[in-house]
Amino acid sequence: MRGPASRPALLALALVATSAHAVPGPWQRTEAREPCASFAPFRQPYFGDTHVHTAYSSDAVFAGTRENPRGAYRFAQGQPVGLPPYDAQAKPTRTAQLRRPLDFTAVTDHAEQFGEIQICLTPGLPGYDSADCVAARTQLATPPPALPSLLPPPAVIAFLLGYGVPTPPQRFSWCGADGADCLAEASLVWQDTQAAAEQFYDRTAACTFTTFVAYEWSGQPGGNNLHRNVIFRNATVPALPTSYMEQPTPQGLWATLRSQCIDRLPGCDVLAIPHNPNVSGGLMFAPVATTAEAVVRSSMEPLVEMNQHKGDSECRPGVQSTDEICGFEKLNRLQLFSPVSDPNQVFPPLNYVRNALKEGLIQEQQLGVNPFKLGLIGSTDTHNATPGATEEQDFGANGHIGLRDHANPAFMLARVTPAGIEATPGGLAVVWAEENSRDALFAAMRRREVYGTSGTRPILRFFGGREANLRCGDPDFVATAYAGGVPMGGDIGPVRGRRSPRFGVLAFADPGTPTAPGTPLQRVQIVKGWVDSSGAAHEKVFDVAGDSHSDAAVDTATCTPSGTGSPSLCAIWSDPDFRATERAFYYARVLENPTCRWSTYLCNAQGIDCSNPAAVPTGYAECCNPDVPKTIQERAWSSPIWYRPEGIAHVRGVIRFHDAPRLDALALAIDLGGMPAGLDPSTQALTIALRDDDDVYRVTVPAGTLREVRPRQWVLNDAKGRLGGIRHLRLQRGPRSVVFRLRTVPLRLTAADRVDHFIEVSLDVGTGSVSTTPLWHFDGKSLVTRN
Amino acid sequence: MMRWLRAPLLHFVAGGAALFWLVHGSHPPAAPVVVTAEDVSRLRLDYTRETGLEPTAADEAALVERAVEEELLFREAVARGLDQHDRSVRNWLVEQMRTLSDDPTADDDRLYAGAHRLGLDRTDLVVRRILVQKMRLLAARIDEPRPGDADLEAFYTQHRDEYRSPDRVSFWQVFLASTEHGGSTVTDAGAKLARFRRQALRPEEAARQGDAFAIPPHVIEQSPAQVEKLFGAELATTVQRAEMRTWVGPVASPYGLHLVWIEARSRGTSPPFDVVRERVLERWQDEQRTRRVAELVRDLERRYPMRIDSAAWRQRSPS
Repeated sequence: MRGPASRPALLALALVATSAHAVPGPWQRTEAREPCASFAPFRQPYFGDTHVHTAYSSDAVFAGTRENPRGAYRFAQGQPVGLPPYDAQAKPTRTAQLRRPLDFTAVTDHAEQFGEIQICLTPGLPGYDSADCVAARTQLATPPPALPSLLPPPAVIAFLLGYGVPTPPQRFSWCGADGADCLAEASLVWQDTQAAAEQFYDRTAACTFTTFVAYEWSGQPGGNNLHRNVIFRNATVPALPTSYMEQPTPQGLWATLRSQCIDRLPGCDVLAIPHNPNVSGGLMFAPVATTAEAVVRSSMEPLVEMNQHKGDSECRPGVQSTDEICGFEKLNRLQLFSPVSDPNQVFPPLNYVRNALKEGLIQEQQLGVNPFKLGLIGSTDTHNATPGATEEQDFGANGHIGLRDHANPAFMLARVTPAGIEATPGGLAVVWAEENSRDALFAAMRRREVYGTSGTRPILRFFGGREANLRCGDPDFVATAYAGGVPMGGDIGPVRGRRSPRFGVLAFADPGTPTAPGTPLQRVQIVKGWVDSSGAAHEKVFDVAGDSHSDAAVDTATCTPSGTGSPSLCAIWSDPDFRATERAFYYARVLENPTCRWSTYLCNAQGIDCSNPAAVPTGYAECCNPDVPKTIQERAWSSPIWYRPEGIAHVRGVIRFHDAPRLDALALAIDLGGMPAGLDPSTQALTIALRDDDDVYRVTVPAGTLREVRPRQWVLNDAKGRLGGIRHLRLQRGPRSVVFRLRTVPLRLTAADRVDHFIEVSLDVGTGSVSTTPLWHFDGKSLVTRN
Repeated sequence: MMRWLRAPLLHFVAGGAALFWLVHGSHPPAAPVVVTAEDVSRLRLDYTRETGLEPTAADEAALVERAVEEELLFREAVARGLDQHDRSVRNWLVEQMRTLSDDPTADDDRLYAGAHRLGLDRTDLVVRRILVQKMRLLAARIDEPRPGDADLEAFYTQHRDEYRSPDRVSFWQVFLASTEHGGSTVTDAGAKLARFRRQALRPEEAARQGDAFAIPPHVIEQSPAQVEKLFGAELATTVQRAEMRTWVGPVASPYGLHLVWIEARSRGTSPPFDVVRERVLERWQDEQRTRRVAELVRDLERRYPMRIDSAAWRQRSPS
């Protein structure tokens, strides 16, 4: 029942925002800082990098990287930083600088050897003269060989080996009893990591730049990469990071993060972001054991870093997929340091995120909870302290890590581990947030309203839901889309009965800069994954906008583009194969027109002439290898929207304010597609919560409180509202739906801001949980949901 | 404390150079600082091994400069007795002596005294490095005055512009997508603009007449950098300069044309001192520490005669 008449109200919401802080975001403020001058209720895209190594990472420092976290943050803000080798005046012989600064950055040094590095580099500390340190320093002082070797130098490998690969891991003997000497040094590094993040975090109203206190947990048991970046919400963090040395399993990591941070340290919040499942031996997303583990995992790991220096992990043709476009920047190794690079090996299906998303649906079918509910981001994994340096033109000169990839291009172009010619400049993490502050960005990461790019900066919106009024020509597209559905990262239920939900995707090409214009878009696709009634998973890719047969091309000799593309693309789409009973996810993928790959720029710059093989210098053979792609189609991936048959079909809410205090009232009606797994109102407590930046309303109905007045109908009636002000509560299970109704007696609801804004509504029983964050409209007397 | 704060590798590289440093023995106060031609070629060789580069004259001057600086700091550390009660120095010397000593029962005191008799407290490279580092930290940090608020604020005033917040602009924009309007985008935009002006349309009304954009038509309190990210450079420039409170345009973006109504603009300001006090203090201390070490080294240079066999060093430009 919404037509043009409702429009002014939506515009009004945008208007309200002129008084910058009248509108709260649906997240708590956990830190002391000036509010941001720029606060957009319908959110804006912030570009960042959540995976950055500096001289506090042992592999980086022993490859000659000298910049510490401060250098990385300076670089992210647009200032130049030095790259090794350094001359005698301690001046770098190479420098790098971003063409466009980032909005946020998390420095994530390997936590395992924080202390060991400092000991090895500080004369006089016990351990400084150990064989391990001497070998590492000797390596550092040795010029790289003229031609690249397959593996990193033995001294570097030896330094890393004991710390990542064996279970349980072993510290060097010179670290003292229980590693005490190394941990004492580590705590100083951790403090400086925090100090650097504080120094570069803009706490003024300008909100020009956000940092996160973070580190990398670097477990690689048996050589299989299980690495995670651990990102803290604010400056409240544990005294020491939990590394692979303390917790050699991801389960142990989550448990410790919960016990040391979330559960015990007031104000502390944290999430972990897995990366490079492509070299995990299928273990990054191995099926979980129990529902409890699925619950922990989905809450601790809402995102995956799908694209970075060491390859793209979206999907792989031939590995549970026939999608040719998946053949993009693939690392053809089973492990990071495997000597074999061969695209025809057998790659474990769960090395790829799309398969993991499908596996998550299967697991949800069995456990009631989806452990792999992953929003998608990219980042770099730079070991040069150069966050966001993702330009193809620059990668050949900058490289991945210190001296190994220094100015000699033969290093970059060789088929060496961990990446060499198979490396890629890495991606960006884009976060849709109201403002550029830690709380706003972290909350967006939690709700997965993020997308990843392969390094360029297209703008991508993706919505799904009922979306009855959404059309491409609507100047209020964004406001309409939020009112009628959920953004990327959200959940929907059977919002249009048995019919398909509607999806809206809006994509804008990277605007580029005056000297380096962005590349036009070729097309927008929607990728669907689903589980059928037999429990088998499927996927399908739909072209929804743009031109899949476009004539766009690039001359690889000059890197000049030709043909046409689109500056922007829009589509409203319904799933022609939709089945209301089948669990599914949908994400948008935007493809740019082709451009030159970094290796093509580098080979061209070296003047390699493949028509005369005899003249190709040693070390440059890959320039002429037809299996190495000459071009790249840069891209962006939205986080998925998940369709859950038992999810929320409809939510209506009213908060009626009264002039007199304590006489406000709440009425809530939620229709679910079915009973969430594990939900038994007779034997379990039920929690209902409404939250914006405060707890608006929250009640827990203890197990046994609801009476089953007739089969499949549970009720609580109390005119006095003794339990959380509940006057009436009813939960009724029908053949195709579950109806939930709540009314309160008059009570105090003043925590709800009296302005149009988002309020999260959640219903938790046992392990089952459903939530949605609709837009509520304030009409002068009441807040009313708008969907 | 915080010894690794600045570029840990610097210390390491410096230490590597010192390995080949050949000024031995304890010196009477005015003994000259000597760097022989042989020392210089060792420094050069070391540098080439480390970087794969042939040192330029400026590089050689810097290598010698650093070696001289370390010698001066070492002498100063000894002169101030920094080695006297240093646990790291003592432990190190005791360990060295234990491997040299043939008496397995010797206690630490005796071993320590033995190391002194052999002169290890002056010649051992690790001891030298510990003391040089200690001297640097001492010069930089010990008795570091915390600046008074007035001093710090004066420092802030000098560097105020570096703390200035970006300019801000609020505007409405009506978007004409080139994908929707094709070849008639320019004429459509012109016609629309003329109508908006003629009808004196309020921006919130006019904003309903555009195409879908990535953010709502009302853009609030944005910095030019943020505007450029979404609309490209041309529109970012226009909204900073064009006339306010009237329809202007059409302005081109990579996506089509935009009609723009600028509502408000504000210049960036430097935040109040109180807000950035800690950031300013950190910067002030950084500068002070670097300056104080440099001052000490300059002072020491004047106290000792120098015999340096490096033309590059003698002809170096003053730093």
